[in-house]
Amino acid sequence: MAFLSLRNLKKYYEQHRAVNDFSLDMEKGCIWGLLGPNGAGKTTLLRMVTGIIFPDAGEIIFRDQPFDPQRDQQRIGYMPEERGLYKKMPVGEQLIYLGRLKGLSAKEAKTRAWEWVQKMELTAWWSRNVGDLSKGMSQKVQFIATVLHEPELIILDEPFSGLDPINANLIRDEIFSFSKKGSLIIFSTHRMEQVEEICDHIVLMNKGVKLLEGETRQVREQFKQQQFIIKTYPLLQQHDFTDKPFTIISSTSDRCVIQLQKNVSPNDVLRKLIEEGYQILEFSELLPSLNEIFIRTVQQQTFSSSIEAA
Amino acid sequence: MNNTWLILKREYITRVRKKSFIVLTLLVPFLFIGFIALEIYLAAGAAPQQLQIAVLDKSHLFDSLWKDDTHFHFQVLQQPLPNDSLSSYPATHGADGLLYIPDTLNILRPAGIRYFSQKKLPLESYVVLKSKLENALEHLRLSQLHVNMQMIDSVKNSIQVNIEQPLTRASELQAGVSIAIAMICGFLIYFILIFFGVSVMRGVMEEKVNRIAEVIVSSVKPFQLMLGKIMGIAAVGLTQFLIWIILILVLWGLLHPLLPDLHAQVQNMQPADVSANEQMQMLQSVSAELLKLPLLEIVICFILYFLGGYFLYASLFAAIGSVVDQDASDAQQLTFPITLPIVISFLIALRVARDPDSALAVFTSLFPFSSPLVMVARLPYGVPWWQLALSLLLLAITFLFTTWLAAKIYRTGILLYGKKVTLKEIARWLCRKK
Repeated sequence: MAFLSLRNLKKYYEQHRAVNDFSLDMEKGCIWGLLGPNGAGKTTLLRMVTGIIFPDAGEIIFRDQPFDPQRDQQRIGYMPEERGLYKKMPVGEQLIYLGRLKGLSAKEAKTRAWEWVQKMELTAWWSRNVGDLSKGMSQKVQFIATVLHEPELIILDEPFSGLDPINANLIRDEIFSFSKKGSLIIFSTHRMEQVEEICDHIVLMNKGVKLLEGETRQVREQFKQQQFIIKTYPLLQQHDFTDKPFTIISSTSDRCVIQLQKNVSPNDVLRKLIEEGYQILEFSELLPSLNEIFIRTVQQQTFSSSIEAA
Repeated sequence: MNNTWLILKREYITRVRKKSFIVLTLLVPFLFIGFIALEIYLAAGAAPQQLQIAVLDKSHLFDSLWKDDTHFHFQVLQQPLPNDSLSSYPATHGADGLLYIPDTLNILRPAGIRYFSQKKLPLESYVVLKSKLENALEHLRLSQLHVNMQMIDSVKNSIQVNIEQPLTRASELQAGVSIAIAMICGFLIYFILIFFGVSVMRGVMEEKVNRIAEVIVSSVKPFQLMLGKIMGIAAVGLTQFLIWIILILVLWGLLHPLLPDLHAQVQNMQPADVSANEQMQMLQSVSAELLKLPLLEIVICFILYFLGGYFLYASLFAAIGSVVDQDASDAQQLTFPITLPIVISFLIALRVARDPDSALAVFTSLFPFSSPLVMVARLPYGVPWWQLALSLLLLAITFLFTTWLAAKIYRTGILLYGKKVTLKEIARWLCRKK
C-alpha cells in the first residue's frame, strides 16, 4: 500500500467544487510536483493533507492508517504559500517554539534549531527578531521551521519564491537529502523549470480535478509529438521536401525542429536525408517541456468543458 | 493539552516582556498612590504652620482660652501697650501677629477685636481662631443666664437617630460603602472585559494577517490555538492586577509615615476642630463598615465572574478577530454587537449598585451576558445563595457554548484571506456539522 494515499477527496465551498473526487498514491522518497493554474484547488488539497481542513468526502490513508491529524501532524512539515512567522519574536526562540509544537522536547528543539541555523548561515540572527530579517532570510527560517522535526511528509507551497539562486540551491539540496532519507515531498508551484529540475513525479490539476499524473520523464514521453531537432549540412529548406515525411516547424541559423508525419520513424527520416546527400551533424528527440504540457492540458480541459456546457 | 500550554506560555511571555506592559504595570500604582497621597495631603491641611501670636486681652474675658495647639502659640501680654505701637509690635518682637481685644467688649455685641500683622491670617487659622472666640463667647453668655454647661452638653450629645430597616441594611454609611464597592467592582469587570477582549481580538487578527496561524494549525487544533491565546491573555491580566495590588500595598506602607500623622493631629485637636474630628471618625467607621462586608465572598465571586465573563466575551472577540482582515473598520462594525451588551450591563450595574433587589437587578444578575457585571454590583449587599449558584451555572454553560461557537467560526475564519465575510456566511459555518 502506498505511503500516502488520497482517495476520492472532495471539498466543496459555497458554489464551487474546490477539490472534486481527487485520488492519488504517493510513495516514500519521491518528490512530487503539484501543478495547476491559480484557483485549481492546490492549496485546498494540501490543507486537507496537512489536517488543517477536513474533506467533505473521501479519505486519506497515511502510513497504512486513516489519517488522524492529532496523531499524524507531528510527522508532517507544512510550509504554506503565504509565509507566516511572528515578526516580533527572535529567530531562535521562534524555531524552538514551532519545533516544540511538533512534539520535540525543549532541549532537542534547541539543539536542532542551532544546527540548522548554522547550516543555513543564520547564526548572527539567532536572537534578532524575525521582523528585522530580509525576505530571503525569513524564507530560510520558515524552511527550518518546516523540517526541524524531520517529518516523513514535507509539503512545500512555492518554496523558492523570493530566494536568490545561491539560497535556492541551498534549500534544493536539503530537499534532495530529505528525499534520500526517505521522506515524501510534495511541492506546489507554478515554476515549471524547477519542477523539471527537482520533481521525479508530477500531478497536474485544474478546477479541482486531476488531469494527469506520473513520473516526470514518462509524462513528457507520453506527450511527445514526434518532434526532432536536426542539424545538417547544408541547412534543410522546407521547399526541398514538399512530398517528404516531415515538416519543418521552426529553424535557426544552423538547426531545425521537424515534425514527423504519422507512421514515419526517425530511421526513415535519416535514411531519406542521407540518400539526399545531407550530412547529419546532430539528431535528437525533442521532448515537450512541462510548460507546454501544462498549457496544452489545461486548455484542452477548458475547451472540452466549454463544449460540454454548450 | 500540552500544546495549549505551550501556546499559553508563549502568549504570556511575549506579552509580559513588552515595554508597554512593564510601563503600564509600574506606572498605574504610582499614579494611584500619588493621587491618593495628594488628596490626603490636601485634606489634612498641609500640616499648618504654628503661628506665634501675642495677645493683648484688655477685657480678660478669655483668660482660659490661650492654650497652645497645633495652630497657635500664644504669648499673653501682661503690660498694656500704647495704642500707636500696636501695629508695629509683631515686627519688633518677632511675633507673627498681635491679637487685640478691647476692654469694653460687649459679649452680646462683640466688636473691636483686631489682629495686627504684616500678613493676613491663613484662612484655616482664621476660621479656627474665630470659632475659638465664638465658642468662648457662647459659654460666657450661657453662664450669664446661669445655664449648666453639663446639661447643655448632655442634651447635644444624646441626639442621634437610627431608623432601623429590615435585613441588616443598617446605616446610611454602610449603604454608601456598599455602593462604592459595588461600583468599583462593576467598573473593574467592565474594564477587564473590554480591554482584554479587544487584546484577544487584536492578537487573533495579528496571527491571521501574519499568516502564522496557518503554520500553527498545521501542528495543533485551531481550538487549542484559540484557547491558548485566551488563557494566556487572562494570565497576563491576572499578573497585572496582582502586581498592582502588591505594589499599591508596598507603596502605601512606604508612604504612610511620610503623610501627616492623622492620629496625632486628632489627639491635639481642640473642641473647635469639630469638623476635622468628624472626618477622622468617618474614616474609621468607613473602614469598620468595610470589614463588616462579606469580603472573602466578594473577592472569590469577583474572580469567578471575572473569569466567566472574560471567557464568554473573549471567545466571541477571538471569533471576530478571525473573520476580519486587517481592516479596522470591519472589526469595529463586527465588535459592536458584542460591546453593546457589555456597555448596557455596565449601565444596569450602576443602577443596581443603588437598588440591588429590584426585579431588573435579579434578572440581569442571572442572565449570563450581563451577570458578570451586574452580580458583582449586588455582592456587597448579600445575595441569596441560590441566585449566586444559578447565575454561575448559567454563566458556565453559556461560556462553554460561546467558546464552542467561536471555535467554529475561528477555525474557518483564520484560513480565509482577502475576503469580506458576511454574517450569512458565518451563520452557514455554524450550521456545518464538521
